[in-house]
Amino acid sequence: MAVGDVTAALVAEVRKRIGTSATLGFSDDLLRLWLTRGQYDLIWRLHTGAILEQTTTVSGVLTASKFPLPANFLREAYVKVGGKRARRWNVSERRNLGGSLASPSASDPFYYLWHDGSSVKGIVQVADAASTLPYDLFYVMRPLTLSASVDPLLGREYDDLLVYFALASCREQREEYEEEVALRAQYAWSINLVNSRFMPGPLTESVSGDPVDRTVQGTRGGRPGGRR
Amino acid sequence: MAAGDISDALVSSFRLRIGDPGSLLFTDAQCFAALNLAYLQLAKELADPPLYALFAVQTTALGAGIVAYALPTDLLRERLVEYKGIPARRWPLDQSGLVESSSLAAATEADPAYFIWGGNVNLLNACTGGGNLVVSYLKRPTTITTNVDPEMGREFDEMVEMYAQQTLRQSSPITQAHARAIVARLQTLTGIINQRYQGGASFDDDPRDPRRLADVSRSQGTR
Repeated sequence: MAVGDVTAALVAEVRKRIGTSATLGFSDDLLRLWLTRGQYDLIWRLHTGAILEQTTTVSGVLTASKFPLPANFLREAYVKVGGKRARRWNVSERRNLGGSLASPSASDPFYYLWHDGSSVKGIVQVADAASTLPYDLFYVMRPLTLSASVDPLLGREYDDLLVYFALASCREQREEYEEEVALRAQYAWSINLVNSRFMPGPLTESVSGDPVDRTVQGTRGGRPGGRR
Repeated sequence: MAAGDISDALVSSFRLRIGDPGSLLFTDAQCFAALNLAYLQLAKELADPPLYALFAVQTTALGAGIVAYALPTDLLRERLVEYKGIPARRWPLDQSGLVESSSLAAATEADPAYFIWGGNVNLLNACTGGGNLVVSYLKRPTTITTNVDPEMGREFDEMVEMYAQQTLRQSSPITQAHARAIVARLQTLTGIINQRYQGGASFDDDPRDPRRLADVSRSQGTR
């Protein structure tokens, strides 16, 4: 497929379901805006494990114990400093760093995000306040703004949800509220099913309510610490 | 993009959302007012981490004998006060007497304490001057205008529009039910976002993920 084809297909799908041509009601720009908003909404709602295409890693070395946030940073998932996982800390509890339970060191690093006077950065707490240790920031990227030449990063399995989101916006604008509510309910239901794979309980390979679960829960899987 | 372009685009898409692309029902000023109210509302209700664009610091030179320092004028909520590089204890005003009278909680320059009152950071320790008072805080979102873009990221555009939309829709009995439905959706989404940052667990971890189990054992001292 050529660049932009996925977005064009999404716009066409919304248009087909809403039943309008480009000249009636909703412009392509508007539909692409709603599809872009849909990406943000999905990234808020879906478990990070379900949006792998939106995740990436940036590596570098700390500058005076700080690392910059990439321009497309949306939220972090995991930070490593010197190859060790750093624990996220609240800036308001910085005073509590240094005790016997939370003593920052190169082997047990901490971090938080805050403004350092010039920009928002990752601020690492290790014993050395001017550390230049290597770091890896695993983070969720901002979705791309869709256009005629930009496709979504999200996997194609979410095309339908993006269409639902844009379609619900169309219905809302047309004041077809009952249909809008039904679409949003379908959208939420689908997201909940995806997220259920990542919740405690059944194995992630199954879906809650799947008959397979009963076998799994009664034998080898199930909730940690629960009935085996 | 020029300054204000994002705001103008937001007003434009907001107008489509409320079915008033021709400015027949609401003026631009009313739209901006509703959107600005929405930014404030979101900043108030969302947890800190997704609002990282609002993180800020204010540095003030300390003066000998001076114990009250003005808070930032754009303060939304304060998160940390550092006195000469040392994180200070925050005390509720009504318990500040403990710091004054108890040797266990005495505030000193090496163990500073403060309370917030009257628009000031009020130090409970004596200040000898020299060094800085640094306040780490979240600032209020900038008021957007046709020349000023929002500080909060584009990820909030949809929520901001939803909030603004329901405020305008409350005025008519015909649209009040729709406004309530929007509020319910907003509450759900706000809850989802905040939930990502609650509970002390790493974000988005599977509770059975070995990485998280390692974290738990580490915090329990069993590693």
